[in-house]
Amino acid sequence: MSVPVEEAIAALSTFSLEDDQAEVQGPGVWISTERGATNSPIEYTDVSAYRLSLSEDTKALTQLNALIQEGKDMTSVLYTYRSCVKALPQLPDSMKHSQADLYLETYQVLDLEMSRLREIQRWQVSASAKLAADMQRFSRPERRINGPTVTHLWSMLKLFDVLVQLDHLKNAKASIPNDFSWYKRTFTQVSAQWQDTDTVREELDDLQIFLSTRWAILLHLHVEMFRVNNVEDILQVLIVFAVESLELDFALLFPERHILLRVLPVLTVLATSSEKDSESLFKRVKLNRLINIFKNDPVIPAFPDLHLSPAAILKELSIYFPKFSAQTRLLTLPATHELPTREAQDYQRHYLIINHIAAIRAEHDDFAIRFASSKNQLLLLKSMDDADIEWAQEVKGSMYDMVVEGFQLLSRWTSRIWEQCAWKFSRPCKDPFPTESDTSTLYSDYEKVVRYNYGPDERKALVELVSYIKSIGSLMQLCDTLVSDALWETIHAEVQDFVQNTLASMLRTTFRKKKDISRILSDMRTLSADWMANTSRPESELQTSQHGVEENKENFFYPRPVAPTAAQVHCLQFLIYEIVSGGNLRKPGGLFGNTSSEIPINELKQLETFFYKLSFFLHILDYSETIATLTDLGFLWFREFYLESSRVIQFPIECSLPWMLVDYIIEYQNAGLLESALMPFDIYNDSSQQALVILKQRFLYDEIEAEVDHCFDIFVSKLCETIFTHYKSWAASELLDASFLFALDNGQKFSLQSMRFTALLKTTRVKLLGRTINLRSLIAERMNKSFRDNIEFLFDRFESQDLCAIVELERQLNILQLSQELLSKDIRIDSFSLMLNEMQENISLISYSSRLASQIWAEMQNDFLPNFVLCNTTQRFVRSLKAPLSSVQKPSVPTTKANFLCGTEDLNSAHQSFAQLHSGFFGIPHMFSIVRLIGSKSLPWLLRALLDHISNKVNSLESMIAALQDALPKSNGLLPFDGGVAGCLRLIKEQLNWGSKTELRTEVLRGIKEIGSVLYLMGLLDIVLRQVDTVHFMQTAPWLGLVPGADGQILQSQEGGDSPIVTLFKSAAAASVSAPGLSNSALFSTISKQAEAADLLYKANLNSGSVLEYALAVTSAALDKYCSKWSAAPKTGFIDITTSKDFYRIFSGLQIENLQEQVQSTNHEVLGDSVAWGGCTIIYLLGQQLHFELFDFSCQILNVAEAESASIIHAQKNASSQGGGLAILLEAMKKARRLNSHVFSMLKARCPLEDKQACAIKQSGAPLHRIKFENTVSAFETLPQKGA
Amino acid sequence: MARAGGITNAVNVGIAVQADWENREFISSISLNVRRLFDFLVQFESTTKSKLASLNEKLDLLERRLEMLEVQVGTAASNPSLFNS
Repeated sequence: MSVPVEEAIAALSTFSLEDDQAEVQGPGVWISTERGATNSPIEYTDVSAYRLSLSEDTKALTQLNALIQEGKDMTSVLYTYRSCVKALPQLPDSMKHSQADLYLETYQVLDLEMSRLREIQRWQVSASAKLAADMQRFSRPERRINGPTVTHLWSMLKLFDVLVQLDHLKNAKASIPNDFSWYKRTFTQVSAQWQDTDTVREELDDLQIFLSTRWAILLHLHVEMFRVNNVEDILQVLIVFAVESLELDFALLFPERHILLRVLPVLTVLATSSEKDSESLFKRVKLNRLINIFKNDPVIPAFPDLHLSPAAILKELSIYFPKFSAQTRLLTLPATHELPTREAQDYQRHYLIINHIAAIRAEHDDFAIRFASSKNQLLLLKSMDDADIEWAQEVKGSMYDMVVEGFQLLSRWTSRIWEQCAWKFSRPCKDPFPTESDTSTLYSDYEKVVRYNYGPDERKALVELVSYIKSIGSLMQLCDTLVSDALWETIHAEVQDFVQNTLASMLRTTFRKKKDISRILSDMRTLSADWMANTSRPESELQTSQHGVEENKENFFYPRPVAPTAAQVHCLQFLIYEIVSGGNLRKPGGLFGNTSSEIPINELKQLETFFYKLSFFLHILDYSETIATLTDLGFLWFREFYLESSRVIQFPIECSLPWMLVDYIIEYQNAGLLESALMPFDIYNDSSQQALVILKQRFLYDEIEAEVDHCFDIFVSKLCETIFTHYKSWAASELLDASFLFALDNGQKFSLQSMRFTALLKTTRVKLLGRTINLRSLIAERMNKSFRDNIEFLFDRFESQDLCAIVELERQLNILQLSQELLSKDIRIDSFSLMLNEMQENISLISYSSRLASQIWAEMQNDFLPNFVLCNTTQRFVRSLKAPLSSVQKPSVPTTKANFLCGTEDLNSAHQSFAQLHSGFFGIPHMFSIVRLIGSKSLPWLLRALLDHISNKVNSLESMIAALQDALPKSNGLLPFDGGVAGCLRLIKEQLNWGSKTELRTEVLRGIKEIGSVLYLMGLLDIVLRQVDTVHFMQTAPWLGLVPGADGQILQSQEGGDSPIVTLFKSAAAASVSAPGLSNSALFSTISKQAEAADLLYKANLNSGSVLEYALAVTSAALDKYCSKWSAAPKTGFIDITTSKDFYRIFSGLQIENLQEQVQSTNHEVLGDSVAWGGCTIIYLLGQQLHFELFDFSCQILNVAEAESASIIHAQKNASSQGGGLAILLEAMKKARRLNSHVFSMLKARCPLEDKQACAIKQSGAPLHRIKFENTVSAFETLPQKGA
Repeated sequence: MARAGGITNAVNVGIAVQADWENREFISSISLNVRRLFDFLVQFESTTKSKLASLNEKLDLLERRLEMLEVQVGTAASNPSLFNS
């Protein structure tokens, strides 16, 4: 079964080929099945079929084309020639004896290179001879062959160009004669023992003359040309042709234009080598026209990094061509470096892209829209079965117009870049901006012409233009196969219209009488008319029209999607040229601008238009080839001349223009340009293509490849850094209070400029030197790493600070989390919790500590508990003013990168100032942060650690307290009122003779303080957890159907029923079973089961106990062991007043001494309020609260003082000497009493002492049942297993 | 002066040209369709590549997740006693 090809191909379009990658690169894949019509010599082999007696011409054409191809290879050999001498090794003195071997080796190496040069020399001799011979054929007074055709003229010009370029290269490359002289020296050394070296020597001399003579090729060509016969006719034709083509500038793409510009000065010199000649030349072409052309383009691009200047060429050649020196007007043209300032500025305005970029932008936008719309129309047309033929022609015609316009735009833009480059090379930067670090550095020439010669704005314009060229190129390239048949059809229609209609009417009217011309015209019809395309016409008409019989109505053609062949175009052009020139080369005047012609002006115009259209057809037939040529920007990379003159192997990549552009995009962070960031890499693609295909040099490709690899790595890492910074600062500015920012004067600087990374983040295919790189996955990989590094950094930073930094840590982690959320909208990266857990070393299921939790605990143990003091009023812990007891060794602060904090400096300082508010103390906010950061998994672990700390402290206090107990006197009773306050104090001092045990005392106090601190922390934690739980409860209660009862109890809203969430999903499941159209009812029953599970889980979580009460229970259990020692039962059964050594006594003593010390020294906050918390809690848990309140020394003194002040008022007056100190002491005592009673009342509320059955808690944390305590905490309420 | 033009056998050339047009219509239609086939393949390749890339991305994520879960299970499995009670 056979399927028509069209249908089979059309069926392919049913595949879905959507792709969400934007076109961020230029065209990359070239498919061209056709040999280029414009440059392939094969195309002209069928010329003979048209029997126009052009066989001689065609033969010459083929020969010239072959020479051009060879010549281009020679130029690339010369251009890429690198000096070998530099690489030659020097022999050390110790090896002088093997000097001869070295010579031989060197000779062999150099011989290979020199044989290439010899080949070039031979080639140029034969090429000049052939070209001269070819030209002479057309210069005979009576020519015997048909021609030259226009194609032939072009081939001559191109070969001329190749020769001139070769000459130029030979002149410019200083390393070649250098290498050669070395070669010659080694040759004389080596050849000493050879025989018969004379011929070789002669050859060498020849080569030396060739290499060292400037313009040797041109001089040789000149000799060849004028050897036998004068060639001035053909030279003049060539000049006229070039000048007219340049002036018209219609069908020329930039490579051709540059060829003409390069050849024209040399042609002029050759054509004016005698006075007669120059006279006749300037008769045909006015001198002003030439001067205008030279003036319009003072620099002509020739090689990637070398330009030509017509003025300079003319001047230099005048030395070698003495006749030419008479042309003073041509010789006084200023070269580029000697232009007067004003003119130079004019040129500058013309050459710099920056001055045209606005217009180019408008052109680009306009063209892209119109091209796309034409394309859509064409698609629409193809999808319709029976479209109106006229409409179809119109659509295809407009597509054709768009393609022509596109080619012209691309040509104009690319030539702008070429010319700007040439201009920049001709005017190196005078003074590179001085760098602050090293002004002494000498800049290489290449740096002066490239690196410092493009300002930021110019780089921007260049990037923009490059991306325009590349994007239009890929736009056109992509619809190659879509538009090609439409283009063929349009061209076919144009040709047929001309040969069948225009020519027919010309034959009928104007040229009826002129045999010669009408014969040519009918030949034109014969060789290109496609009569059969006229199928609509009846047979008879076809017959008549074939014989050229008049017809009044215009012919209408049925489309045939076939373009004319290159040979047809060639013949048509030839014939038109014949008509207008009359076959006479000496005909004065120009090509079409001839007024004295026998052809009426109207017809001439028509012929002219068609003539130039024909030459453009070839470009359109070579669709993809033309696009490839026009969008090829590879020349921006090459720098062979500067490499040679700078005597370095390669320049650093900072000097490389493509990299400069990429770097600019990344560094300046212009939101509009970011999407073009990959465009400059196309330059590398192009240049590597050139290195391999045109220059055919492996080493160049290797250099490019190495540079690309390096650049791409840098690019990706810089890009990732930019992306990361951007998202971080975005998140950071989101997290700032919006209303506050609004009220702020300079709030603007915290807002963020938006950037468009989406296109880049979606790029999965970056084409780079034939490789495909997945940029997206590279970015994702690096982002994952950056986030992890950032978390690591934050932890490191936290570890180098104290516990108070926890608020800042939380804030930074929040920013990081938000930026992860924002970024994960565009790119797939790991979830934040996963990364955080990984970095916290917290992924194990059975370990409950984490990096953060253990750090917090270590910080508490080593720094916080010993060095922070509590202020009961503010509910804050602050760092003790005293120098820390144990100086804690902390890792140094890791070096800060701005984007590891909040992104930009401004945002950093904003968040920093917020964090500063919390950096000086520890309080409720810090507790919140701890709870949120370590979460429910590690919080119990931390609690356990803290509670163990309490019992350890209690254990360690035991022995010290025993020592203090021993030091107490046998008996110390109540203080007598007689001595007054002062007496009491003295008495206390006598009784408490702990003087020798100061250290012990402070140690005990510190222990008590730490216990108190831990307990207070528990209190804070309790408050925080309550809040968190409440919020949690509020969120879950409606789903669980819970309502608060009248007395604060939680009630179930529907007794016995299911909670709302379960009911909801159950009913949904039930409805889904009965509903007919629902396919997956099983899903709903799964959901409803999960709802039941969630219900259970959340309900079980509701009544969590109080952490503080649990902590008190644990403390009480820890104290239990020492109950007998610290709270001895009185032997008598009465309260033991005088001999008691119970804990309260000790604490009372400690407290009063501490108070005295505090008063004497100005250092108030040595221990803080947590001593009271610790001491009072122990006293309370031991059941000694009432004893303490009764027998506390300071209480007694206060009592005494009260009594004293009531009776003897004057005591304060005459005790002025020490009354001050005393008053302060009394005040402190009062304060202590207030604090103690505060603690006691809190304890009474949270932990009422009852005499009842209770649980104790074992060391492991498990409760121990049914142990009878007297006067102990009612821990029963608080234990976790309640209700179990 | 030798004037150009003058096809020696105009009628034959005309017939040959006509035949040439028709042959070339066939050739260009075939070559165009071959190029379309090529185009399709190139495009197919590139879209397939990006589809594979996005699949790869998902697999990457899953792989890392799985790795994490494996580690977690590993820690649990090394202490089975904790889960037996």
